[in-house]
Amino acid sequence: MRKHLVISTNNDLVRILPEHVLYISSDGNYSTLIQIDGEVRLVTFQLGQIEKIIAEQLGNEGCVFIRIGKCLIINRSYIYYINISKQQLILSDNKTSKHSVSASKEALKKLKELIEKENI
Amino acid sequence: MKQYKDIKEDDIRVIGNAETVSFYQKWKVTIICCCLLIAAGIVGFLFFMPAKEAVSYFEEPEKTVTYKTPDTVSVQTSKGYIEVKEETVNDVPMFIYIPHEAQATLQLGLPVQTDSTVLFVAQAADIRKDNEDIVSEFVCAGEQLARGTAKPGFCAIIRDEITIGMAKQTPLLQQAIDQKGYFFRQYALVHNGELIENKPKNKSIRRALGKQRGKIVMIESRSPESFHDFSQALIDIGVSDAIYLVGSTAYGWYRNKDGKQTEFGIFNNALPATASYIVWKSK
Repeated sequence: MRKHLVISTNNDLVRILPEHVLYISSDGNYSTLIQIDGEVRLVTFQLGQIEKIIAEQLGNEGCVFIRIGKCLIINRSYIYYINISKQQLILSDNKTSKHSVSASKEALKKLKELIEKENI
Repeated sequence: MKQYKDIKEDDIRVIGNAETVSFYQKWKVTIICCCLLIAAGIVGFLFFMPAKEAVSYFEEPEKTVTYKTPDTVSVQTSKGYIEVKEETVNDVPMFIYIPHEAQATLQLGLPVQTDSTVLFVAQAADIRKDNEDIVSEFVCAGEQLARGTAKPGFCAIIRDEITIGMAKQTPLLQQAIDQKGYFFRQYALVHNGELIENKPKNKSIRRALGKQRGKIVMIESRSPESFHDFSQALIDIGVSDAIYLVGSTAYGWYRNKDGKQTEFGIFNNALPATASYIVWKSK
């Protein structure tokens, strides 16, 4: 059985396959989870806590996610376009979902290098 | 539980690796891990079964709120539209929304989303958490709905003229009432080309209503920014006066020249009836 990511509070629970997560962005003390089906879910955890949850629950499979700076966790499977000068990162499943997010130039440069090296 | 170091804005980290690593470090770590795993496998095959570490994320007694973003709707608009420009200054990436053939009003509650004459919608005044009243003076179609001057920045819409300024008292409030206009207050960000400091220090998606080279525009940061950095970026792109619009996940949308409607923020149907919006409609 494939591992799900489970984000639970006293009141409710979110259970989602990692490949259904496009990215997670920080919103102060909360985080916003953007799914590939377009649904947006606000969860009452800080991004750092979400990062720990991913690492703990998914183990090595968690490496599909990349933390970028203080405000973003992206699913690397959906990296489609990086433009360093425009500070633009487009995440897309090349079907229905396409989201543009922003990160620092230096972080995008590192991400670009990582993707390039991994594809060699 | 693994302890993660703080990450800097310019760093990236593959989750699952406790350290922020470069590509070369990553391979080094991978090879060492493989060697250790093989050794551990041989030694501990009969004696060692790794226990699953307890996860302790289930103790935070906070509730999760779910929002559903409505689908994007594409409808041919009338002659007005919103031109969107991207600008980046000092590492602050922004969208600039420029209204064409449009006029602004204020209203309580969201307009109808399928109304193709609505070109731009953004939440305007803040709401008090305790009693859900609008913060500071607010006039809608000549009717004063809230009082107070906690926020020094103001926007007055009287007939077709929009004035953005900063003053505890302004005759424009009374003029807005007398001439069935609109008036609201928010944080002042820029006044006469000068940066106005504001108390909140957190970073968030920021939005503003500003005057850029004589034209009224809306500006949105594409990354979380402090008030200071956002205000400075506004000055750097030539904004002479600007007040804040509700930022973060506050919901709104715009229509471009092709009539395509694009949303921003997260739809929240739990907002009180006092939630106010600046609405640009096609002339």
